[in-house]
Amino acid sequence: MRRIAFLLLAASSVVLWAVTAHARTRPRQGGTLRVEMRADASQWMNSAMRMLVFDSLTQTDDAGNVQPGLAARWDSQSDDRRWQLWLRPDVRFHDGTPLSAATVVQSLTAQDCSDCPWRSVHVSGDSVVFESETPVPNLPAILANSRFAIMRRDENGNPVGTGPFRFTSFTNGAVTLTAVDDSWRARPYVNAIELRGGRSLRDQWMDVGVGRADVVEVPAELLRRSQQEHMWLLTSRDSDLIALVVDEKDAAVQDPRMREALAASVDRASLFNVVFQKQGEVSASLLPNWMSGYSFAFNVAPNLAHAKELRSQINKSSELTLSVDSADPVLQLIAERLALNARDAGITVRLLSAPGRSSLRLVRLHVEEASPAAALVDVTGQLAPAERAPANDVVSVFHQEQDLLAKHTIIPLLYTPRSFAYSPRVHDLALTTDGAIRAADFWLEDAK
Amino acid sequence: MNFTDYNSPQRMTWKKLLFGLLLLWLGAAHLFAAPPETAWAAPSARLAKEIAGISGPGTATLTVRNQSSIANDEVPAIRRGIEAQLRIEGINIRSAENAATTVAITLSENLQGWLWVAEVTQGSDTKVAMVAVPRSGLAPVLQKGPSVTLRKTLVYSQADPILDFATIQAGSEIHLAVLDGNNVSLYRSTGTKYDLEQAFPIVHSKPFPRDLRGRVAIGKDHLFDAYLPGVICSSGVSTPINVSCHESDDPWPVGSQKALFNSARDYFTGALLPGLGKPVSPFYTAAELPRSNYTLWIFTGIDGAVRESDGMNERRVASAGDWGSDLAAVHDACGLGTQLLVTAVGDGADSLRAFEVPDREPVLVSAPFSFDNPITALWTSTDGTNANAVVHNLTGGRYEAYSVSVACSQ
Repeated sequence: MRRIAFLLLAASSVVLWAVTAHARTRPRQGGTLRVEMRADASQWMNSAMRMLVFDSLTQTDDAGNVQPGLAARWDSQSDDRRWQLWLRPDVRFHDGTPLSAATVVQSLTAQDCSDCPWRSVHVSGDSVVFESETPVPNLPAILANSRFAIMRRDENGNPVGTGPFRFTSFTNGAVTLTAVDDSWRARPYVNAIELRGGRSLRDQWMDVGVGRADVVEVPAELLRRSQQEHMWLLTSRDSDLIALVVDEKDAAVQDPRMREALAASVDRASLFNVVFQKQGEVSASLLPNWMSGYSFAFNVAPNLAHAKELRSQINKSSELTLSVDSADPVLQLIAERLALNARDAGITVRLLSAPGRSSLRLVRLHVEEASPAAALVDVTGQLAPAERAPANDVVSVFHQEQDLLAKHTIIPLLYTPRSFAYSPRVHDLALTTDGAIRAADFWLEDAK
Repeated sequence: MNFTDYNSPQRMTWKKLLFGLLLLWLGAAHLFAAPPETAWAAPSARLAKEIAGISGPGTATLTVRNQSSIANDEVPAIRRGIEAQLRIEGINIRSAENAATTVAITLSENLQGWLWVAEVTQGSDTKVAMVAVPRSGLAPVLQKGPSVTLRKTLVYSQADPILDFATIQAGSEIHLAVLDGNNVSLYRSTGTKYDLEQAFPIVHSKPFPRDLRGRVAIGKDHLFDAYLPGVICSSGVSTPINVSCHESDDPWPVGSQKALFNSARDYFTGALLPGLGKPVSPFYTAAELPRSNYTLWIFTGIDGAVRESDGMNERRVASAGDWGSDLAAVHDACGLGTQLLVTAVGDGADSLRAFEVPDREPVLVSAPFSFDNPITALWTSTDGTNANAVVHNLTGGRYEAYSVSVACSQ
């Protein structure tokens, strides 16, 4: 009965949305954008709103080209081993502190940087200098990652950035971000963003249907359903990688033939069709095809005969363990199907729901970058950190990826997009290629 | 001896000579017409070399599939080009049963450009070769649109958002001034395209508002003035042309009036000089419709209402509920002599419609003219005979400046 009521509510919302048509109007200023999410609101810095508060030294446009951010220009020396970035003048943090080379260095050195592609970062006059042992030709693209956003903490420990919104409060499970009047990127149209956490998907969808929320989440596995319900949707490019990571130090998968057999047993198409309702793309590549243009060159089809043959060559009959985040039901479902695929090839895989040492890990990884070289650095940095020769052009990125995947220590499965449903009162809401809320160009219909 | 099968020599008549010359000319024209293969010759050669590096000389079967934005009718030409280059590398294309190697080429693309990927299979071993093919930039080209009721002519396009533009006749030369948030750029027409003469950076100390608007107005004693929120840039009189910018809240030209612009927002405050007699509510755009004994003004208000004023009375235009925020008056020889071009939204794409205002009530006089993309700026041109429309082409991401004119229906 509750489901029927929910569907009726959703249907009535569709009618409401269908009859609302806007003439082209110039943006209006004012109002509060109400956003809901499943995670606790205190986790907002990991959400799509992050880059509304913080800026990075560089940014990438929709075509993957690097554009100035807090850095106005840059130059490299010593075959791209030394990069010097000059900061944009007259930029202030939200607490009034001027942006300086020292505050940038402080921000970048405050975080865990064990896999950062530079050896040191230091101040040189009004510029910041990055130095590395090996050439890093794509450092400006790498610095666009939100991981390298420039931030500081105020005396209360609250995060302070330079973006168009400032963190104001966290009360009653909601975070408030307020528009910055003198933002160097120009003042946003809306006055504030209220981010409510801990909302179930069902509640979020109901809230956006009845006008209690403006932007709500739509996970990839429910994207098809939301399309059928004619929700107003924003969908990014495929930017979430789901992959199996193999611990080659584990005795059960030390034999490369076992890893290859496992890779050959995977039926990606059934995951794509059943779990994700044909949203996203099957991928045996670490990068999505829209970004690289070559992902189809990595074979996605299962080869069970080959998997069985390889398995039969290995006498050992050890059991593989697969750990998966128990809080992610979609990954759980995928893990179960992967175990069935493996069993068909004669490989026994046991699922572990508790974190711990395992032969295999099923991971979901977000890829922010739009440039293949920077994205490969990001993905491999997270999944298989190692010193690698830098790749600059897409052909060398392909060869580097090919070498890495030949070891079968990472088995890419799928790429999925990020999506949001939004209320018709929101205009010009746009996502970056990886699904973050773009800049602050959105505005509200009923704002005066 | 029987000579009946023998073709005796025949004299070449002048007709045959002409026909032969015609064939020769056609052949030469075909050769010199830069066939489509030419554009793809370099990447074809590079890919063929890569393929030959994997397979070595011999026989191969070739498939080419297109997964890119390259037009499908160009694919046969690309295939011919690659085949020719493979032959040069010692690889002859044969049918599958007579070939030792299988070459499967995919014309793919990524954000940066096209990517041609060759999967070269010999036995059970497959190796991959690929070449990146940059997309060539679009040259700004003067184009003529079809003769319809509303007619658009692409004047210029660029990556940065265009705020306004103006064509300027200086002697026999035609210049184009293009205003964006960073520069006012001056181009010279070559007849087929505009070449950049100089770009003058716009200096301002305060951040511009997010919905940035600007105007270019042709000067009376100098080339042009460019108006931005809180900033005015003026060109010099003599060549080489200089442009100087200074912070100023001076009013912007709006028809025969000047209007104060809110430098922190995206609208005019409503203060007009010399004024209409009665105060005007804040507005986004205004259009001036001259009448025999008065002038009717139409304003799109920031509250969403459209108002008209003759200086004495102001009224809301009730029938304008589906009008957008931008409108422009165009003076021509059609109908009442002035049409009002108004933005509206179609099915996800912005369109323009023309209205006439015989008395006080606007009458639709054209079909919606879709631009398939958002219109980001619309102004009456400086001479008033056209409208300047800026369209954000969402496919290529570029901003396109159109001159929109009204053609009389036959």
